[in-house]
Amino acid sequence: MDERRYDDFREVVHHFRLQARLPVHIIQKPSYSQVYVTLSVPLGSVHTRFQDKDGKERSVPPGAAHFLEHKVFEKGGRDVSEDFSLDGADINAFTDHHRTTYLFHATDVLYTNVTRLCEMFFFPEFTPAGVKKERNVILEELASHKDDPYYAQYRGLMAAMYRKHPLKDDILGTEASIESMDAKNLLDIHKAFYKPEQAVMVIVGDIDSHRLREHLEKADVLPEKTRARPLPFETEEPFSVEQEKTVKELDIMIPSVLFGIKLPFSPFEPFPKRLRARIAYAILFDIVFGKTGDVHEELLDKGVINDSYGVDLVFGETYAHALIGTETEAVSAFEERILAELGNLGEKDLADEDFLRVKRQLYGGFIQSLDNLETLAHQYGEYIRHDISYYDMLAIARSITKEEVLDLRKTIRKEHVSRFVAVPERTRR
Amino acid sequence: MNLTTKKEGKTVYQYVKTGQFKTMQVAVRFFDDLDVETTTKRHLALSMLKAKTRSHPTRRFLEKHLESLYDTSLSAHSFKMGNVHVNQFTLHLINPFYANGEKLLTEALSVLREMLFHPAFDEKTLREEKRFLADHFRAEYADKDRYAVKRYHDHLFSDHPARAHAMGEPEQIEDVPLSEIEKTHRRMLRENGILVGVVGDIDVARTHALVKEKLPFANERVLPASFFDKRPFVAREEVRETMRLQQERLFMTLSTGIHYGDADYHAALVMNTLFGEGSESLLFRRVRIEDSLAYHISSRYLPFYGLATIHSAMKKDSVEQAKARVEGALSSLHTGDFHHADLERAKNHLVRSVKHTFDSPSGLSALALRNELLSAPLDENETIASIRSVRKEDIERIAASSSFIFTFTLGGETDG
Repeated sequence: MDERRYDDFREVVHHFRLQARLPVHIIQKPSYSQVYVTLSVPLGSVHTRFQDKDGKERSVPPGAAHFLEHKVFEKGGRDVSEDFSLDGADINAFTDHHRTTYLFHATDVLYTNVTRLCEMFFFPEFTPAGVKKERNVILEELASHKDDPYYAQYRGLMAAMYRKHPLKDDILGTEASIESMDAKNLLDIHKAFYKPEQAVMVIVGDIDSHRLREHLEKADVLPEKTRARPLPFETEEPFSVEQEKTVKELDIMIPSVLFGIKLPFSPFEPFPKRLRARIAYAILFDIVFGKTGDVHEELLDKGVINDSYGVDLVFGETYAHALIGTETEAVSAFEERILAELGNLGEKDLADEDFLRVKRQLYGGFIQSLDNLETLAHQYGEYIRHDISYYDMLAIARSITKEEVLDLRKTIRKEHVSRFVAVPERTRR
Repeated sequence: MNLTTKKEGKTVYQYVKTGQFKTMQVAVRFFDDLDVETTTKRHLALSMLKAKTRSHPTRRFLEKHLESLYDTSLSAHSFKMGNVHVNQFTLHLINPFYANGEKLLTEALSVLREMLFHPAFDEKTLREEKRFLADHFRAEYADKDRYAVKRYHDHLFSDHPARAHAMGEPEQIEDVPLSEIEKTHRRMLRENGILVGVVGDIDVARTHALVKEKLPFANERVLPASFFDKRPFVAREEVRETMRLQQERLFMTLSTGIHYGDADYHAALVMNTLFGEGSESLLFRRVRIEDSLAYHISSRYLPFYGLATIHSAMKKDSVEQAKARVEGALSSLHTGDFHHADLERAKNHLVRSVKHTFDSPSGLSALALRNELLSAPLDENETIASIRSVRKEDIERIAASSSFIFTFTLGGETDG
């Protein structure tokens, strides 16, 4: 058992590899009554290819990662979540662009539930009848998005920004791809992606790491090794966007503008370098477009924006972009001001005072994140898959210089920017 | 829970000392009657107080100051507790231990003091806040779930004090003058019940002295003693509104007649969980897993009104089948057609949520508040024992005396 202490934050993390295969990380949280357990695997909506056990290249249909996430809960027609619940645990799962994560939180019967999670995760027993039935549930989930104009705006923006990257498609897939899911294909995909060596388990709570390890080693919960494996993600996505501006009528009352700015970013760079760029971009956008910047104050004073205005930076493993959006009746004024600021970004200076303040803000935000066990489990899992501890993120952030942030200003060009303007349908105006 | 309660004049101060967290929370709550005539003014006054102060003359200046305090957040929101309207300011900051011993709490409380005692009310800010609030209500239309819930509540509470919205009424916004904001502010400080709650790794005596110095309240009204009046909800005709939606929204209302603090309160909680809370509930299993009619369905217990509300969304032609399944699930509870394991799962779900409350500063603060206002137990074991003691017969009895009183659907229009 490896132990790492982070005395600055009064935190301790234990680590071991179950049967020398599955990495398990345990963040000790004395006094908490809940324990959060996550088990994740790098299978998301961007993964399109795998090699099956016979060495043949096969495709992953759109929406398969999400469909599989639903079906892993089935054991021969039964829903395993009932067993978790009876033993005091609440289990859930979600799929994003790059990974599928299963998580439960519990206060009792922890070891049994961890074993059950591994068995469910590595040894699925779903049936063709169960797959057929699940199609309706997922079609209803897809239909629920169609009633959400802001989701339509976001999806429309992604489709306008990305030319080839699967990010332009819905994580749930299409009606046709959902209808075509079959149990055999899903099981083959499972075999290739749900492998102990690729998965990560993160546990956060007040637990005895040594006893847990003993319990899991005895339980023998890992599958045999297989030749099946994921094939690497390959997309040559240019930094320029597909479409500069999209205007669409939606069932809303106030027009809404969402800017997407592709950030020059290579998925093939080492993670520490990408992480550094991610933090530096976050500092830049916060200072220029955040609620303490000139742009926000000016737009507010002129009555262009309201308190729905927001800035977000989204970093996936194979993409990165910034989002700036607001509801506004002054669409043109908002568009012009944001475009002007992006155009002049290269000339923008950053005050030392702002730079230091944002660093303090980052530090405070990091400390706050340590109190939310679920968020901490996810963050730690995301970092550790790249062999970086979440607790080391702060040292990287501290070492970023103002010059590094200034250097990023000129990496953003007009051709990286797309915007989606949602306007009320004619009958609503 | 290590809770110390102090009363100075009519103001109540609660301190929860705990070393569990790396952050701390200070909540200041103002209590007044829930009245449809005053909620708009109260919410606008709250927003004006939070926008800027005499010492922080712009929103930007204030935001910068809070960021420099290691990302301290200061939020303000209005909510309802039965027939009481609550305006709450919440400070959330890191434990000063992680800020090199800086006097973070002192500085954060100073900001709160400036907001509450030295506000910068002006016409420009009022215009902005009115615009924000009006836009908030207009934007509700875009979020179809939120809009559907609002329409449902408007119908359900049409002749009940709870018809007042916590953030006010859209049609009243324009008519609120600055003088009313100033008057409402004075009333908050003088004629509201006030409770201050602090949770964190604190020295109680020193923190109390600091809070009193920074927030010298002199209110003349005590905290409310009553939060609901148990007036019965009578059955009414189903209401159907049309809207162009892919999925029809279905709301059903179950009257249990059991309110917060009643002898059967915990049994009603367990019954609601067994009925429709979470993925192990009867409704989820029957409507989603067995019949694949909907992606989600849930039931929520409203103990101040003695109601449970069921919410789902699905294809229009599935609604009648779903309604029948919901009614069938209530019959199953009545006749005892459920397993012992189902009951245990429901209890486990509730026990987890009780324990979850103890794992965050906001959970502890809310628990301390409920203890002061509603005599809720502070000891988690006491609550858990009440949940565990619920028997199958209790569920059958409550289900037998519960009935559906109102159904609302929204949707039905198709494209074109």
